[in-house]
Amino acid sequence: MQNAQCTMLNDGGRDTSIASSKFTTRIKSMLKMDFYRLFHTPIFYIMVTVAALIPALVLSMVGANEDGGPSFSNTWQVIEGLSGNTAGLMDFANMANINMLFIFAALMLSIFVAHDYSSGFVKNIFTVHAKKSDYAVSKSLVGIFSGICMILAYTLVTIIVGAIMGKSFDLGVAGIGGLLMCLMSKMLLMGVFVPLYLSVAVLFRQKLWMTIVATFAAGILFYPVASIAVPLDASVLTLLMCALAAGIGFVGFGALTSLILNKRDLA
Amino acid sequence: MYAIETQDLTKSFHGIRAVNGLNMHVPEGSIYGFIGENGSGKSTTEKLVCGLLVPTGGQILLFGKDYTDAQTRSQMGVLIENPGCFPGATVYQNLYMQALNLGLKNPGLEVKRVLELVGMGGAAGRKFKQCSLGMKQRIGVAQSLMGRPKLLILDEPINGLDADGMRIVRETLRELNRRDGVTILISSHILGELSKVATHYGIIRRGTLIKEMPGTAMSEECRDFVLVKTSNDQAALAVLSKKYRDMKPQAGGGIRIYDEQDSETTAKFLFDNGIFVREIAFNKIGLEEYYVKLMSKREAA
Repeated sequence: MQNAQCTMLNDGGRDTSIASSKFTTRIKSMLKMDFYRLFHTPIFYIMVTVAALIPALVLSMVGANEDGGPSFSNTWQVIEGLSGNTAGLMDFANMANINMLFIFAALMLSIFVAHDYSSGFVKNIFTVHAKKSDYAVSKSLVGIFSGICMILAYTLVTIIVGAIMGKSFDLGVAGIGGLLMCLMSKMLLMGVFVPLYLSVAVLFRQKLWMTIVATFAAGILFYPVASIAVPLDASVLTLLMCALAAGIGFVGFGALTSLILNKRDLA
Repeated sequence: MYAIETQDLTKSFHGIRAVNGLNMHVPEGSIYGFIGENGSGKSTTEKLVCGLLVPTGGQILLFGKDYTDAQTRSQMGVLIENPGCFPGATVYQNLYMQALNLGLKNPGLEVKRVLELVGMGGAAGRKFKQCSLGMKQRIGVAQSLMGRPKLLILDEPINGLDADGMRIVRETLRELNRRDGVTILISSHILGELSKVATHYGIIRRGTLIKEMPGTAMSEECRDFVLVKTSNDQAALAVLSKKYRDMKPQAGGGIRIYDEQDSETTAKFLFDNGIFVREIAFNKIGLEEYYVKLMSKREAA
């Protein structure tokens, strides 16, 4: 046993790439870990499935009862309304659309972050990664990726169910270009929302339920912004504005997350 | 050089000082036994060193550099309080994640290596939440050993381990220290076990380091001896020096004879040489007894 142990212990110190302490290598290692975890975590698949189920339920159930409930005669209504149609924002018809995914992204990220703390894995992360910005960047990117996956799943199922239910695919003044700009802008907006949720999640990280409730509340509070900012007839300008907002949000909220982590106890 | 050096390290929680002006010196290449009662500040100190808590005051140096130095921190392995593992993931997945976190080039191979090292090769596919306390502890040790760290910080690593588990962990730590020069800061309530590996000791009480000494000095304190008290210790010392070589007067009166195990022999020898013995006893001080005595003295003070 002793000999076996001896042969397994190699000479020298830690042979790791993060020992080089370059930002890119540190982020690479952390991203690898976070994505490995994401793909081995049921919550990711559950959230993407729920994202896919929403348009299926809305289009099939609400569409079947057009007389009583809000009308979803057009498939794209579950994606977004045209600009100027946001007056009845709190109506069910306007709430049950793709913007709900901004709340699911909040939920997904909060659970992901909360498990880091409740499991104690955060001790491994922060002992090795002295720079808190590594955590902010990596978790934000994983959250954005999850959000984009949800948007893609939602859109795909919308098209399939819309076709099955015989809904109209008329895009009107928006056109296919407007639809694509709208979807891409929504994806870019994840770059604002996810880092914001991350800041909230690390602020309330002491208790799992607090993290989830606080982040979820932030999601509820801010998701209508996505509807107002990005209508179905989005333009290149909308896309550029969202890209700019994503850049500022990612850096700004990333810095805020790092600041919170630096100033407060982690475990 | 010191692997860990703290200067006036302080940490307060809501106004209560958990660590109070701690000056700790962990020599590079040592196995530093960190001893203290529950709530004395051991875990808080370890968390501070790992950067998991923000110090209220003072300084922490790792290998001569500030503890926030990214390169130095990447050379650390930790097991504090309990293993940081996701309960729903398998043992393999948990360790694989840590290997990725460390940026290891062959994560799969490293996972196998550390699992074999702690005798857990067969448990890779088991979910972490299904493991026993002892198994979890070994997994935690394995996790801390990933990527061959230069500095290991282990908080109660042998808690819940059976005799064989303790032996494996002990031998692994000794071997890492001997072969690779890994510095190990280890705290444990099982002082007997700790005394088998530690080369240096630090004793903490109410957040302050009350004693810090190398293992040789601790051995000196913990040696077996015959304590003899006479009406004239000076004369007794002169007589005893004819028979014994290893002895010294004890502070507060009496003579400690280290190269004698039988108090009756000593008593008879002194009597035959005209020395009146007031008190004689054989003393066996292990690390545990030493610690208890030290604490009692402090309590009394």
